[in-house]
Amino acid sequence: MKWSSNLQPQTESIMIPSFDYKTPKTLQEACDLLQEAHGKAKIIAGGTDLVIGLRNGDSNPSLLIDITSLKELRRIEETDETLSVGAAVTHSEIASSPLVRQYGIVLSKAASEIGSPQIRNLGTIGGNIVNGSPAADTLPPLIVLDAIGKVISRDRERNVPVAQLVKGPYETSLKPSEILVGVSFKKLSQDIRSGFIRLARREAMAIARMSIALLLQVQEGKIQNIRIAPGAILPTPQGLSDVEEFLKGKSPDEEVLRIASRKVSEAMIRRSGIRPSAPYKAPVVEALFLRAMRRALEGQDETGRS
Amino acid sequence: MKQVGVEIPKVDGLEKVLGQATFGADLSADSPLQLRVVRSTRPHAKIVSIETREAGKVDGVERVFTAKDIPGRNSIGTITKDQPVLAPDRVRSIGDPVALVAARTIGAAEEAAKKIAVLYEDLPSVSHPEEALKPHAPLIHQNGNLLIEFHIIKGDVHAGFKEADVTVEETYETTWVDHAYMEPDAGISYLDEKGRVTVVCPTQNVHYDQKEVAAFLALPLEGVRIIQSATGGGFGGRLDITVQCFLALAAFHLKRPVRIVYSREEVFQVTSKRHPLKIRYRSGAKKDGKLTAIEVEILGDTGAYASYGATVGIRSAVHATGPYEIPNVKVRSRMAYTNNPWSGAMRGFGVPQMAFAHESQMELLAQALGMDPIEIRLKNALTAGSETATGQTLVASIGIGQTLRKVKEWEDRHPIVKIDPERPYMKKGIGIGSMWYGIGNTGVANPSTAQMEIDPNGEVRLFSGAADIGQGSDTVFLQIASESLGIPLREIRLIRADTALTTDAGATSASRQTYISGNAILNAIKNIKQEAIKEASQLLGVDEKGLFYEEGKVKSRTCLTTSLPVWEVAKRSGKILRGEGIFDPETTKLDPKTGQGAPYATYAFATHLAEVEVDTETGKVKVIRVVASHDVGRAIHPKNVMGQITGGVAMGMGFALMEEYVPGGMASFVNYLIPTSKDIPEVIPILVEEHEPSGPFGAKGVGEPALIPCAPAILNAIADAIGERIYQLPANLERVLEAVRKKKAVISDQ
Amino acid sequence: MEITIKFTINGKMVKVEVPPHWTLLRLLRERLGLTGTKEGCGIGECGACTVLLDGMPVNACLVLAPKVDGRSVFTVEGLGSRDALHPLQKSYIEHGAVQCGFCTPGMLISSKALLDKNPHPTQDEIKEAISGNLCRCTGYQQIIEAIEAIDKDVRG
Repeated sequence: MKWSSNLQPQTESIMIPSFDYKTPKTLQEACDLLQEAHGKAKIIAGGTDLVIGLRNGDSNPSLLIDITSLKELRRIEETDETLSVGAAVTHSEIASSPLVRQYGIVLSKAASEIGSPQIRNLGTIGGNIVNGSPAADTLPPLIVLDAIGKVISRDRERNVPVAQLVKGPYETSLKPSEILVGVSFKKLSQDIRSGFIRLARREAMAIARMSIALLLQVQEGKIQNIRIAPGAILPTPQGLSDVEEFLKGKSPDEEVLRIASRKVSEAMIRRSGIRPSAPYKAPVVEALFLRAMRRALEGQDETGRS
Repeated sequence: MKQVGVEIPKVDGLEKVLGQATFGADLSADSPLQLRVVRSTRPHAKIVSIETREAGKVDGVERVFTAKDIPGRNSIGTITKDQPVLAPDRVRSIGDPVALVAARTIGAAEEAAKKIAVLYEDLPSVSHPEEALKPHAPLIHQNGNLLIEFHIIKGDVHAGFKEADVTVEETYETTWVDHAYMEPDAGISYLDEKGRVTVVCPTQNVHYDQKEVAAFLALPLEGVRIIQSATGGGFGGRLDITVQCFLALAAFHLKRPVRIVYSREEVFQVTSKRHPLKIRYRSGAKKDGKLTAIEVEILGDTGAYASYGATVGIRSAVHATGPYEIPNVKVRSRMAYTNNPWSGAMRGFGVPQMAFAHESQMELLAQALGMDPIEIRLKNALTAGSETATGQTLVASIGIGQTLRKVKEWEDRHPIVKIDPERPYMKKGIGIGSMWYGIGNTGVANPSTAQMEIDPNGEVRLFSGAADIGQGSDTVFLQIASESLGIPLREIRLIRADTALTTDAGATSASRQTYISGNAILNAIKNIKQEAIKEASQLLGVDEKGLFYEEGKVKSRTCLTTSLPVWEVAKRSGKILRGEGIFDPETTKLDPKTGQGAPYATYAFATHLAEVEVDTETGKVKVIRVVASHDVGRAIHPKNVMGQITGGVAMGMGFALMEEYVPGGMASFVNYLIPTSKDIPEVIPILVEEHEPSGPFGAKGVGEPALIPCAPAILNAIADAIGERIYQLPANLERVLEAVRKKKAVISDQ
Repeated sequence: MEITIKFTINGKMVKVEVPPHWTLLRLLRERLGLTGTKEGCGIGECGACTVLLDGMPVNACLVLAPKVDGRSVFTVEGLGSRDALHPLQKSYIEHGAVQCGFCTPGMLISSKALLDKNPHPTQDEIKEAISGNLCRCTGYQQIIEAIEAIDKDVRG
């Protein structure tokens, strides 16, 4: 029959426009390729965001430079003081890494809740950062970890706090010739507790409606150190320094936490303006913050679910 | 030969697990041209001009089609044919097709599509049905913006409300829902060896498609052939024409194979949606819980085109009472045109929306009267001898009471603890949702036909035009045929859903195929048995009256040793034994003024109990469990029935909590969310089999009933958990939180 | 324009010329005739195109063809044959896990990836493993049962 299945061409619904594709063997080669492309190249790692962009016509590069073969970008390594994660390490690898779990569990949890198993097997931490989505799941943990991004180009290497890598929604501070090669952060000591809570409209494959990542150090009943970063409610990833300042040195009783939670929602409105979604988001971000704080204080932050 | 009521593998299972079932985009053709549709970017506009010259110059482009290339009727639709295949002079909603490109590659088709310049002159548009019905609203169609107004009047509602001890009145709203069948629409078309314009694609009704395509191309029916490919779901979305006319038009003109594959985004933007309904509902009851009257006002948004708007308008009204006997009923149901996306058929035809309203009302009445929710429902449940709102007296297979009692038994055995001391912000609740659903089309003829053949070389063939879209009708038909013929299932070949080989079985919709086509098959078998007896009587020289058919054999009533296998009858007579079957359920037309009549021959009933956990700080609802009790008449394939129930619950849950299509925006599975494996509740199906005397082996239907009571049960459970009710679907994070806040405000006021 | 890539597909080494902007999904369907892998959304949100890449489930619609060079790809066609079904395929049929069948190939692949790693999954682990595969027909319950049944069969 004419219409039976055979080896004749089948089609996808939307075609991706053509480009060249290079898989450099060394980082130097990658930098050279990028430099020589004069802004017409794009770096590809997992491709979970980039390929959709290509399909939708959001970007139209003439060359893709695949960095996933570069060994140094695929490693999770520790030194005495720091843990570094290569830009091409996948979310699955982060979620299952004993090192990340030990020294930065807040990041493991965020990575384990991204998208779906399929997406986590492809998507990378570097890609999640440079895609610059306000709802990027790894950004709040990286902010509270004070993670530093390592950025290189042919002639230069610089270290940039992750908070400064993302300039605005879907916009980075990277120059066209620069590659994010990894992030590193100080290994968390045992007495630092962490909390991560993510709220979405669905239990899998859903963009975060909002999230809270926090790190907490309590000594003799008083908050010694605290870092708080919300996800999906601010245009750029950032910590809530005013709330942190308020909490430092205080004992985290219910009253203090309540005032702090109010400050979280105020900070959100101050930085993103009053949006139609604010009446929902303000009380919810307060609640999530309180929940994350309580869980961290009780030392039970295992689930990560809202 | 026991085939009915037993678990047998679905006949299409093997191809599907092997990945070899041929869906729309898997179909191959000989160097097909690729089609792309150019669509309206305006909600309402005059088309001043369509400039195709530049597009025609793109390398690889074969032809650009516009409305003037259509040889026949450029308007489609199930009842009211008001939807152009390619807009001739005016667009009425974003996504309306304007031009069609055929090119050698998709790339060329895409490039050409971009180069087609359509000059529009915007017209004032209407995006709300209430606005659309105002006197000076912009006209969307010549005959006005009111597609249908339908009334049901029974008894005297004024007297009924006077008699009531309590009355409850609320307004309920639902929104656009997408079928989200997993397979994007796609297909091929070519001229077959007889020169027929042949379209192969996923569909729920090949014979309807054939009529539409033939009229569209101004060809006789025989000039068009529609073949159903493997179909990745439908849920009503493939009752309307999707890709058929585009494919046929290109193949007709170009006389070579063509192909179209929609992207998911296109499916979202251009296929039909569930009708948003606004329902004002007033109910009255006596102290003992007995309903005395309801008055219901329904206003639906059919969008830019009629599609199934009238069907939904009427069915919503007919089902407005829910499965309850109410002496005084007044319903007005209207459907208005707007410049919104067109609404069409979707699993339940308005009844899921109505169930949300009537089941919320039952809960409010129970509260007002201090009654148990199941008790008040049982008090009013339809039973033998009950008269429905349309004046139909029900006689048999009325399982609503039984479904309620089964759920009650389950509830009594599984009490829930409402508060979790570890998480004080989590509130649990349970809710009940009941429904009834008339099987088949509403008060109109909707016959199905089928044929059975046994040929001299022993091949047994069953012909059915019905489209199996995954729900399992092919398997059920073969079970029915096998059991009734007494011939093993694997020895019967099913020839299906191809207009050249099968006759009209009607649509795979309204949960009708098992009941109606199942009966048509039984009738075909009755006739083939007669035929076999006739032939055997000649072969054996015995009078027909002395013979009977049993277990695949023609036997003698008097001589025990005389027994002729039916294939041998065919072989020895050298003839193809044939049996023709038709079945049209016994219904009457509804009175146009009062809506009185018997619109369905049988009804399915169901009750769901949902257990939910509400996060009162975020508005997140988790559905923990759904106990789903269904009166299906008879489960011919219990596993299929269970699958319909679990699938219906998931879809009902999506309807209740997360599904909302926002017109105009770019929808994809990123922002149109349907439940995943991690969202679904545990489903505990309970089958109630209240034998339907007119059903094949007592069967009715379950496809739509599976979905209908779920959302009401979930909404009632949320209300139970937080003490405040939500009147608008979906009950998303924001609405649930708002309800929680409303409740808190009420408490602090007191 | 085209590049040459070598990879194993369902255990067999292939060498193909392919434009680099093709996705693995397109390569499978158009070049290799393996149409069991479906496009349901094209953006990694439905899982109908799930294949194994070096044993791990991924969305073939998001993987550009050059990425599979030197790696192994496994699709539904490698799972079993008409005469020798994979236990998962058998179990799917037996448990009514197949309705329209469009999500089935991807769902089977995610199921296989789970069982390869974890032969005795809990129900939550099963739900997690197939959480990237949308199904609109079944409500997942019979799919979950089909996967659970394999575990029971293995345990005896």
